[in-house]
Amino acid sequence: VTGTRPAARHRAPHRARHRHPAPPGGRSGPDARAVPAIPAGAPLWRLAPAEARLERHRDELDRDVRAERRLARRELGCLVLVAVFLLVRARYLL
Amino acid sequence: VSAALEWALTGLVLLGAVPLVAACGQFLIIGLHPYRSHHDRVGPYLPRVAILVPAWNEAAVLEASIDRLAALDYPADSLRVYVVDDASTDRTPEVVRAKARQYPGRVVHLRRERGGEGKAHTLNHGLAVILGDRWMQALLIMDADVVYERDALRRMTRHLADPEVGAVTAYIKEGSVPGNYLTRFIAFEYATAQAAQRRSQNVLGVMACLAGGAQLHSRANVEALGGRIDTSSLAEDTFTTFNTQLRGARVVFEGNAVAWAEEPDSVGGLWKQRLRWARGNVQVTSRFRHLWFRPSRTHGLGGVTFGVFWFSLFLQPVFMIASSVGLVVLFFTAHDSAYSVFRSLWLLSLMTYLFVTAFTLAIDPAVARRAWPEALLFPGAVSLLIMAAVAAPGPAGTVLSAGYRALGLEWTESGRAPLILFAYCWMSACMLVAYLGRVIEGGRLRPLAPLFIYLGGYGPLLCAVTFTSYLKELRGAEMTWDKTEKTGKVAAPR
Repeated sequence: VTGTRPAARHRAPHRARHRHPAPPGGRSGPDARAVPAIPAGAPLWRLAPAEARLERHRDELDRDVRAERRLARRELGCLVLVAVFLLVRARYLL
Repeated sequence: VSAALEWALTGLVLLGAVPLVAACGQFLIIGLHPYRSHHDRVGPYLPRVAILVPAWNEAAVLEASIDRLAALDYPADSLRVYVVDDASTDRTPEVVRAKARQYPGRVVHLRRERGGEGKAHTLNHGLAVILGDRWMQALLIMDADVVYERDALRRMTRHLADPEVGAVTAYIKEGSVPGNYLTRFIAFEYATAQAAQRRSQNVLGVMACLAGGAQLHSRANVEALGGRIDTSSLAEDTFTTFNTQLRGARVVFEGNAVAWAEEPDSVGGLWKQRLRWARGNVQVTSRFRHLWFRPSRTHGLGGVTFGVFWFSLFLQPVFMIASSVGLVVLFFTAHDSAYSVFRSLWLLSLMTYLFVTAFTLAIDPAVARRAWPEALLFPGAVSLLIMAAVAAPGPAGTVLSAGYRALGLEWTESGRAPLILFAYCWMSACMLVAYLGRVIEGGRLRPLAPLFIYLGGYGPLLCAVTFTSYLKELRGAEMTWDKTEKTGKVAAPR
């Protein structure tokens, strides 16, 4: 399962789901094996069902994309800092 | 002096602005990274990864590195560590054999009986074994001292879900504990050169260098490179990076995948390491001379923007010396023009310094907390004073004239001349002062070495290394692989 590229792996997600038991902390009851809950902080690779792994991957990716957008906003802040410095220099330091 | 000569000299001085403008450009385009970061083409891909670790006398660091690799948040049956012991004379073989027993089937000990030929030869020894069967789907090349954060490898492999990607690199941070002033300078430098500048290279779609301690390749890429690493230069990682892109594959930097490394804590050690890197860059620049400024459809290495960024760093010492020479000649031939162009240059320098320093610290707040004094003093204390004087000429004049009077000197045009000449020369003299830090570190005045680095600047020290690399390559000096000594001081978060 882990050795194939995603496109190939997603062709049969239901098979992967039935091969692996629900992770510790997953739901109890008859649907436990079908839709396992995602334990917080659990390693991605242990969440064998393809859907769960994909969901975890997306969460992680969302965090990284948000972090990149945060950097872009910080860049604007730094440019404002330089502009303020130039204004102060023009007004008081020349 | 003729107007033409005056313009020519002004142009010479303004060459000093090239690295500044290029740095501003590089940092400005980082704002586009959220849209050009390759995160839109990743997938949950966990290939079987062979980790290749070249090791020559690395007993002090290998144990911790292998333990951390075994604890990576990655399927255990999809990871194998191949340590290539390059005829080590310390306890390296025993350490690796013990780890192979501890992690059966996951740690492999390979031994070269004739070693000392350099990292590329060592890597090729391991590659021949790894490529011998079909198990490996991706190859991670790392250094023995590098410690990966638990999720780093997974964050890297997800980019290989895109078959257009040939290789991925991570953000290597300086992690020595306890560090000293030099390792803090390096921590800030890595935030600038990796966390910031490699993001800008992602935006351009062309990467200058895969970090030697964190390069993940797809099997297809390794095979396309001929299954071996170039052994003809001191910059095997840059050669690999260029060759990967030349065949049309993409190279990606993943700034959220973090690895920690131990870096030199002495100027001498840093000098040896950086001289090897800088000579490697000279060799790359020369070997790929047919590429520069010749745009191509298959790769971005010939792009004009990338060329400007590459040469602004590669030729920085030349620009600095040219600028100083131009200023000094102008001082004697066209005094007013000299001051005008000097002021413009240093004002631009100040703007660049403010923007680059503030943004780098904002990109990596942990480095900001640990190394903010070194970040502020990166260009050197004297350069900061010149920038301050240029930014506030009124207050600076008052302070300087008071200082002159206190020394019994006259604040006249002729009295000021030596001070002005000193400031005009400083753009290249700073390299000499930083270099003196290296010289005195080897003698009885060793405790004064940090003072020279803080005064002259860490940036100018690296420029001095680059300048020395030109001379070494021109002289055809022997290529020796001066390995950086590692002592196992890295403390990385778990």
